Amino acid sequence: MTALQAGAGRAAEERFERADSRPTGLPRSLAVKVGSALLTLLFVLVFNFFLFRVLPANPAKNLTRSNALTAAQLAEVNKTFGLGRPLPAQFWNYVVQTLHGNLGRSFLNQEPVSTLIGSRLWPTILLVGTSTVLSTIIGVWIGIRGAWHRGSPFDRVSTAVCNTLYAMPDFWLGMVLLIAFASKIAIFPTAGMHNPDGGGAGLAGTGDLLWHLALPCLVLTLVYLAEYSLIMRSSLLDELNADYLTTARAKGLRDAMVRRRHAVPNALLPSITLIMLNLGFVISGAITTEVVFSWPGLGQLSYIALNAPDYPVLEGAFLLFSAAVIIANLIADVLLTVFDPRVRVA
Amino acid sequence: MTAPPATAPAPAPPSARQLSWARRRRALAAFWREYRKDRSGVAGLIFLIVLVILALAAPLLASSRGLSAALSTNPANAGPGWHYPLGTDADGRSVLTELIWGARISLLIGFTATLLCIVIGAVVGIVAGHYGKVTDNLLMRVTDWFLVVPFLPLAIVLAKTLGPSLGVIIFVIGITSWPGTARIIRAQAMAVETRPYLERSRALGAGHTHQMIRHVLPNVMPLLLANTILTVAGTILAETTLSFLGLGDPLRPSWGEMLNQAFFTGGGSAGNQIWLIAPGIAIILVVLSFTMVGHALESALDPKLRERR
Amino acid sequence: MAGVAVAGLVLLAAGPAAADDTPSPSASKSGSPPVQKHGSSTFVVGNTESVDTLNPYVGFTQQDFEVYGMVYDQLMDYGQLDYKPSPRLATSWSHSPDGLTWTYNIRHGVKWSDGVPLTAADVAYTFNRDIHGQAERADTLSYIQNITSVKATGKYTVVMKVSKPTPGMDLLIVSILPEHIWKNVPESKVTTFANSNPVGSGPFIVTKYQEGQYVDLKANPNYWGGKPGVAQVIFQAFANPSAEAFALRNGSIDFAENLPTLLYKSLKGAPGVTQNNALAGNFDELAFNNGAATVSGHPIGNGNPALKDINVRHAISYSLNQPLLVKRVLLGYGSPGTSIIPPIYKQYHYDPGATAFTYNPAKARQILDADGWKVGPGGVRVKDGKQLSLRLFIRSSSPTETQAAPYLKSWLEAIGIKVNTSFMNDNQLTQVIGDGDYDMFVWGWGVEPNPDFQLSVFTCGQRSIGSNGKYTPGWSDSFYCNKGYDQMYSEQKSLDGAARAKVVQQMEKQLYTDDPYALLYYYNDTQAYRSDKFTGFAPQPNVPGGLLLYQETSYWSYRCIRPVGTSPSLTSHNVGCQHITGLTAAPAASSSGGGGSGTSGILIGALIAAVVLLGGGWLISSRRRKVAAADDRE
Repeated sequence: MTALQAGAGRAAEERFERADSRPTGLPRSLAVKVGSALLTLLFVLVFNFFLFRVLPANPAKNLTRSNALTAAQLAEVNKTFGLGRPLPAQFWNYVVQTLHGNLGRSFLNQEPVSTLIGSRLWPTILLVGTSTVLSTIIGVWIGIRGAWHRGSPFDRVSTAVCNTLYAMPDFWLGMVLLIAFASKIAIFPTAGMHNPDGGGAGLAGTGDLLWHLALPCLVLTLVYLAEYSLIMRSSLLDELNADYLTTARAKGLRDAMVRRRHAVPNALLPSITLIMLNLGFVISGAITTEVVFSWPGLGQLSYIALNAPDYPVLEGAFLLFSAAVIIANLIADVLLTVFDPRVRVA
Repeated sequence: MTAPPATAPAPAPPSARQLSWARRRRALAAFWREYRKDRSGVAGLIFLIVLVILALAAPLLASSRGLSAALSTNPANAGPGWHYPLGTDADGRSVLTELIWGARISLLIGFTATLLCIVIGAVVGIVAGHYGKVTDNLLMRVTDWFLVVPFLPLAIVLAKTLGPSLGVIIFVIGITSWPGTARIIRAQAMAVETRPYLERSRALGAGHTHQMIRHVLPNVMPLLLANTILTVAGTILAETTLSFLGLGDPLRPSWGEMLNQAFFTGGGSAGNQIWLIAPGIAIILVVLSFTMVGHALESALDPKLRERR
Repeated sequence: MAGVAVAGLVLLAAGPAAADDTPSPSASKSGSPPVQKHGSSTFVVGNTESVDTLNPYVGFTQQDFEVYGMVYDQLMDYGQLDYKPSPRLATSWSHSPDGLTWTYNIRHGVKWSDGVPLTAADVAYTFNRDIHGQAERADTLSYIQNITSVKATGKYTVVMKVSKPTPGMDLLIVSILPEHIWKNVPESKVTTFANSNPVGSGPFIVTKYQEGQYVDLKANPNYWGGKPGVAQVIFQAFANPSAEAFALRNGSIDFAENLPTLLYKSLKGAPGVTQNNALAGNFDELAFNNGAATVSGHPIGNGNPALKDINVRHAISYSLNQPLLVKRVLLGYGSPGTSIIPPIYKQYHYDPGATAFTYNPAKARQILDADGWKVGPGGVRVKDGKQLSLRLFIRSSSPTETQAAPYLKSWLEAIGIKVNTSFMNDNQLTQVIGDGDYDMFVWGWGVEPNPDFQLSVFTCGQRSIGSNGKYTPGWSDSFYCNKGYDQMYSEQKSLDGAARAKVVQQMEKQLYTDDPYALLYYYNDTQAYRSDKFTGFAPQPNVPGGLLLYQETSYWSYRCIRPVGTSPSLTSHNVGCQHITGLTAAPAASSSGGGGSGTSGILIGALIAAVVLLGGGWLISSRRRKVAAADDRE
């Protein structure tokens, strides 16, 4: 399920729902949306809890490197992790603790999950943020230009390339680039975010960071811009055929004006919101890319936690990812509601 | 005025069944005419047919003995050779053999996961669209939840707790992909609900199940079909990612599993790089084909979508 | 078509330059110029494991202990030459005639990294904490379990009492911690204490720690054993082994640990890189459920009773082609497995000689036939109405074991045994074994120079404890139980030298015959390093092919290595650096480079082909758009 399909879904819904729905006031719409988001968040908490506490795990084994624990020692460990009390009590405990930011401790190194996630947050935001910004700008530009000059060589090539990039597994592209640029001669570094010898302070440090960021960012940018440009292009093409534009043209307005003043801005909003909805998939891309490039972010943390398996970390990461996507969706929904009266439904 | 020449007795008027079949044939022909206009869709369709034939013919093209690590006699991780045009993997198995047989696994996973996804999505969508109100609200709540939760973390968490195997991967992908389908089908179902013949059938006393199965479903079918094809592309990519992260079944090399082994044993990065490149290209071509076919289907079925091509 | 060409070029911009067939001429001199420069006196070690924590009571991976041993001292080490106990913080030790009291003399003049002098009080504090603290005890149990009291009887003397004679008291591998720091860490916080700036007495001091990424350590200039020959050691973590191998090749790291065999093999002939195919005490085995039961003899679990029949186990052992596994899975970096003490420990290893279970499927079938297992429908053997169908559990975390799995399945099926393979993680498998709910699995052991622990795994007392479906696993994962074996185990505990070796070999012989495990192979530790940049490694044992780093909880090389081109006197006076075998191998000849160079061209070709194909396809398909485009133009 991709943003393109999500977009198609939304478009389909809009076509069938508009006739049907009652327009309502702005505050009510917003309140409903926020409430809905909170409810979804609660469901995520419940799901998280049941998936991780109901299933058998033997965390005690991961804590000692030595001989088997006695029954008393096992009990002690279970107590520390709170595994052993009745389920409802555990769940309540879990909710309260989560709201306080206490997400438990990693099985592997006893560090608080919130600290672990906190320390890995910035690298992922940097990587994902930079590629999202770049891919949005470039992708939108390509999409507009392609739709603008539909059928031109630019359009044909860009659509072909974008479709190909879209069909490509992102980690495969990463692997290929890693082999091409970072194996025999390190044009770009093979791993990490900084030179472990210390990247240096100030300008040198930033340079070192950018040099390490280059390849992973390139991969994610390429993969996302493909999708965004396709979204933007079809969105704009849709607009270009809208009735009001036909009228505008009939009235004698110049085509370029029509496009710039009316079509593009109207097409831009749904595209941007679709891009925000894509955040969920951006995270997926981040996880695999961070593994290929050993980028020390949340994705790599999830990968390590996955192989251990380090359940508290997996639980915490999952919660964070879901919350991020829920919030992004909420923002997208709010944007649409505020700026597009057509979509204001109960 | 001459009498009309003696002819055979006038043919009996066509039966209702013959009429409806004739109508279907004409619709199919019209559909094909429309579909054919999209060249890329045709190309994609041809490629997919060839692929399916290849996958089915796998035992004829490459003996399944070639998949057995214990029985292979080729050098490990070698470059292209006479008996192994694409080189060998870490166990000396021919990459080409694995690619052909891997097509089966990847397609199997793609299709079954999609089937699961479509069935759930269609049921949810039609039921929600038909019953409306509370049921609709409830189902949409659940749909929204699945839509919003990011796919990969959810898949990881489920696959991890259920264990790595083919069945689990299919299950995981299926239950994380259905919301998109559900929403589209629901919208379409709601439109169909307002059509006159549905009102008539209700007036005639048709029960809910009858309405949904005999009336809503057939009208939702075309869109469902197009959505199915597009979903397969997505599920194949999803399986690739899950296998790469180590959640696949190592004993049945799908293309994603091949990529995983090629990269993490290092054979694909430092040895026979074709082992890494070939499955990737195969995936690209297959996903592209499904996408093109899906879009062509959509254009052919929904005039409004034609403008985008 | 111009558009396609552009797209193609964009994708392959600098590709050819990096992935060309022949190594550049400059490579033959001193390794390809490392773009990621680090100081020449900085030694960077790459590993796929990262350092989880700097708290020695929490970390449990080999990578964690590698760092603890550099930051902290132990009382003694496994000697570099031949594993014999070598004085570290304890300069000498003695024990009472009854073996119940041990006296250790602590080295004078040692200082902690914060300048505070180290005394016997710190040693006593550490051991007392280990004995009495919950987490501390669990962490160091195998060394301290018999210790009843520890006292500092002078500024530099420590006396320990044990409950029964314990030979291992001369090899206490426990990090000695500073009392003045750790007394401020209460028991309740001991596992959550980050210890991010460890104060230790060891040869290196942590300067920077980025969890999951790297640890930077600098040489301790005041180390009692002599200042290390390198100014800095960095451990860098890699999320995938391919990147690690590339990093060694292009000079970003100086030592690569834990590389999968294919990557290790590809480094052969790489300029500036030397491989070290190091013998280690590791093996993987196919373990059987020999009749799971608790320590009280109560049977547990759902294991297939067929495996209690020694003939079935023997038949399986004859059906395994271990040399093929060594060839394919280990790429030759190892040897076929026989007895449980690996050949690296010469005095203890038992060689079955002519009685070995060599690959002989015909004989395997014969044994099963004679045992009453007749081949039934589908080629699966049947006896008394029961099919010979066994479950095989594989750890998904181990790539080598995962690679071996299809071979095992194939071989067993060839002699008429149906095999159902499942993958699971370590935790799950441990519990499943403890519950006795398995038939066969593949796992491995790292055997220490002192075979005592490994031998104890097969004693009756190491089976699971518990009742009513709730079991706590012991160390036994075969549930082998034999009174005679247990007797021999007690016997060897109080013996020494040749007498002990004789009993140990007897025990191994019995195990080999009774076949609770079918050992698959002993695997080496494949290490590779930049011999053009560093020299002076101290291999353990002291032979070519000894382990250079990640030694048996010893850290000899770190103090003895120095950059190439520096004088040996830099480290020749350091403790433990006198008997080095001089591993200053010249950089490998720049021959045809690694295995992948030939196919890089194909990589590029394939990419171009793919782009051209797709681009061409799209061009063909979009011809009809010209009509629509014409409409747009005014």
